[in-house]
Amino acid sequence: MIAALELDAERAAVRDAVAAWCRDTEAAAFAPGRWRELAGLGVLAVGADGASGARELVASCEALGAAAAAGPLVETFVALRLLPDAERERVVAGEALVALGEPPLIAFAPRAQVFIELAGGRAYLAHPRGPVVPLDTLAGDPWGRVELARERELPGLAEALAAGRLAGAALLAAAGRRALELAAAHARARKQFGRAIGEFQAVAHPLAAAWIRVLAAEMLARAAAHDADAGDAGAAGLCASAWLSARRAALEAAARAHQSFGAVGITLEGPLFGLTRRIRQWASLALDEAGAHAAAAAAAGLA
Amino acid sequence: MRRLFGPEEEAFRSEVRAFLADWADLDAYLCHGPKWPRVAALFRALGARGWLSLAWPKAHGGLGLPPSYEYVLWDEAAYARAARNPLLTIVARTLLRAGSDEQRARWLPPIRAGEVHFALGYSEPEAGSDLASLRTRAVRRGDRYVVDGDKCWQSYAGHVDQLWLLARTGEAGSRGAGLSLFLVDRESPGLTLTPLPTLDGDALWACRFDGVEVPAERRVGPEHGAWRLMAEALADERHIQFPAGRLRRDLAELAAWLRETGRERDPVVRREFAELAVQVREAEVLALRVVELTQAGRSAVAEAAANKVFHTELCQEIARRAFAWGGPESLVVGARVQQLWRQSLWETIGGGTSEVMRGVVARQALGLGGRN
Repeated sequence: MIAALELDAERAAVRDAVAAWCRDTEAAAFAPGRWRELAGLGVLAVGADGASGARELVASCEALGAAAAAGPLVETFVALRLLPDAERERVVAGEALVALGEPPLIAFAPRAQVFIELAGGRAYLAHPRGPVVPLDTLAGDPWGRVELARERELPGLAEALAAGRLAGAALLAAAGRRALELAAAHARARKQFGRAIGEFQAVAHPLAAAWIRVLAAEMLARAAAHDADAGDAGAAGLCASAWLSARRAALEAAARAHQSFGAVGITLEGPLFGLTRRIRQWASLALDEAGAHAAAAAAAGLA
Repeated sequence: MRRLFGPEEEAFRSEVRAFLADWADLDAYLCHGPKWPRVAALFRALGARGWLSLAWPKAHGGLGLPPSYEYVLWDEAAYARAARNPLLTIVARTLLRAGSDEQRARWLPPIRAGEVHFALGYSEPEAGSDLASLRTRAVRRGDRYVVDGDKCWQSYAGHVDQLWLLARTGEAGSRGAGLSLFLVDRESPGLTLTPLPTLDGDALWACRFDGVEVPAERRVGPEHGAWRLMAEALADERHIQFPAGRLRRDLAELAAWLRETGRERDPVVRREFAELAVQVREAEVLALRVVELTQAGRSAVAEAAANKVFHTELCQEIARRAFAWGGPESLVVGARVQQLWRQSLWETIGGGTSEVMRGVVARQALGLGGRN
């Protein structure tokens, strides 16, 4: 058996290096300089030239997810698999920021230099037709409303979406795991009725149930990455399933963690909001949910 | 996900599939009891190939293969609906670890050959999840033990040759520190078995021990030493307890049923089916994680409990969704949907309830919970 559900030494080193960078910087708040630093680590370049690298992508995203890292991560991983060479090099270097989605509401539109419109299962290189109207969003990222003018269609959306879903799965699962770690630590320390609240099954079991889902999502993302690097024909479908799995798991983990934290969990400066608002935002990314469901059903015999 | 296995394991999978094709009519995974003679024949055929001792050490007649081969076998057997991994493997593992030379010589060859079968004699009317509170007593008298008490909810007890009995040899109140394991012949005088018909067409059994004499050489492991042996045997077995093949087959049958009845065109049904399909993949990767950890010689306590909860609750969810989609049609006796519902109710109870398993996950993975 191939131990693909365990990160090997090489990928574990990637994860640890990115995690160390996250600890040393304010990764959860977006800043152009930090984004260029992240690019300088080579994180954005993984697999961008068409080579395999799904496992490195997952390893990096596990670290970024646990840190609730800011920036158009998933959008960038999708875009790099769509863009022509010139634009791709600028994005890989962190010099150009990507705004990708279904207009008019698009993440990072006020800061972006590269625009990609997704519509009807196709991707188009585009540019703003007029001014971008900035908006604040839940996670504090700079979003905006903008009308886009299409320049040309970009081929390869299916492969790009698979990478984006895989990255999204790893980000979400890792963020969900971190939320549960924080909640469990709180439940071990916080005492009520003369004992730690984590001793009550009413507190412990919902967290355990969420941990099971997060574990499944993590393992599914790693399995999908392994199959993708092996060139398996079913890998894209597995990436789609991993994304759906992680979305559900992370949202459940966030909800359970908030409930376990009690009042401190709903304070703006408390230990949880920075993570759970990022989970909510990542879970809302437009990565063709209907298509992901159709792929999962088809793989199980309902084409 | 098949890429997670190497070419040798995939070749073995092909061999298993070819073998199981001859047993496609058995359809006993969901209900062993009424088909026991043919189930037993399947086990003998497996034994003849050495497949009941795939991962045993070669010194004891096994093939010395990694645990992943055992997973592949029982995963395919589950998908083929042929049969579950028999309880004899728990007995074998314990004998390999703690049996005397005489016990190994007596029991391992017929176990390996699929010629002897066991039912676990653990649960009692007042000792289910809290097994350490069991009351059935085994009192040493010379060269034998005399057993008195009641066991309940035993699977297959009326069909097998031997009971793998857990009984109290220590003082009352000694909990897990006062329990011993015995091999008890089902035909022993004073042992009465009563079937308790179950929803799925099978039966559980009540076992009454009334002065049953068990030779001392049929005690396995040290007196009062059962608790550790049971935990170790469980660790050896975790990777084959809930292979995902059963769930893949449940889902495949559901897909076929949806196509046959035209319900596949309903967009709500399609969406819900897709969600089930994702969860079946989740269950598969959870099971594979247990295999991977077992193969690496690492603890898989939390992961195995997670797999048990997820797998068993999902098979119930599949059956419930099918009922919701099928309406009155799913009520017709004989419909597979109904069989899945009837059978799956047991899954979250037998072998450790979901509540107990969540407690294990809470303790092992999150450091939560007040009891051990």
